[in-house]
Amino acid sequence: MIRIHCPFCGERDHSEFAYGGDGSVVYPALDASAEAWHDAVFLRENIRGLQVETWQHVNGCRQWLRVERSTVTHEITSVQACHPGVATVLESEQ
Amino acid sequence: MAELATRRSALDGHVPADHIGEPGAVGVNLAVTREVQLWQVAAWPDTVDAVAKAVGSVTGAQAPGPRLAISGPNAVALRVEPLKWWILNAEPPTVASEQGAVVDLSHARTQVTLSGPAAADCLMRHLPLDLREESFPVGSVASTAFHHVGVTLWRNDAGIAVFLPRGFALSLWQLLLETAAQFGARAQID
Repeated sequence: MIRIHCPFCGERDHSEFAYGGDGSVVYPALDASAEAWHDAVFLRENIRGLQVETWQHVNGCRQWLRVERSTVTHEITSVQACHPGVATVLESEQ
Repeated sequence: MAELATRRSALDGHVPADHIGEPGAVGVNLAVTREVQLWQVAAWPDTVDAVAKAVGSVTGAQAPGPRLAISGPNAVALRVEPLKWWILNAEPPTVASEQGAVVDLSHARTQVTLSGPAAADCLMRHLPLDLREESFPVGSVASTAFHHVGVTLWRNDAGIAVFLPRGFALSLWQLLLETAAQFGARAQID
């Protein structure tokens, strides 16, 4: 069981979250080539170790989170709100 | 037409008058609130301070921070999301559209308050949260999943209030009654 320390709700069970995907992908400009879009949408590293992922706390505060998780141990080393404005709000209230 | 104007709880007609389950024991009291007045006040990331002030002006207290509810002299506010508050049983503040948005959720949620010695145990049969008083004291707020349905919880002096989305309220209510039976229970609506 993975537990994620949500910056708003606190430590919560995996069952409250929905997995987004690779959080490190930088999408190309809308008018970029089909090849650049193909690579951004379909090509993924199969990382052994620390990976940046997006998760949504869909049955909690509903925020999208940027999570650093080890694919070997499931250890989570950092969690923050994806939206920089929300991240700032939460930091100021900690 | 008068029939249309009469507000009905999603649980009207589904609240048993008799003792439920385990004879002689009342581990859980389930109280349905028929007339809930609930407003959601939302801010943008850069207008949180202004909207918090507006929420505070309605309740007569500071706007609550994450995971908290604060009861002011006029009303109660719950912080349900980073950019959202709920105001219970009071008129909402006026918020300009550049600052945020106010939405009436009164008919969207059904409030059930569980009290009694087994109230937390009963809910913890379904929820992945520690609701014992030492970890979820009076004034705590949490949103979680109840049978895959998003619900919001608030512990107050009367017990643990659960806000169920109206369309799922009857189904979740039946689950709650079934679970409460092992502790012995009573239910009421008012």
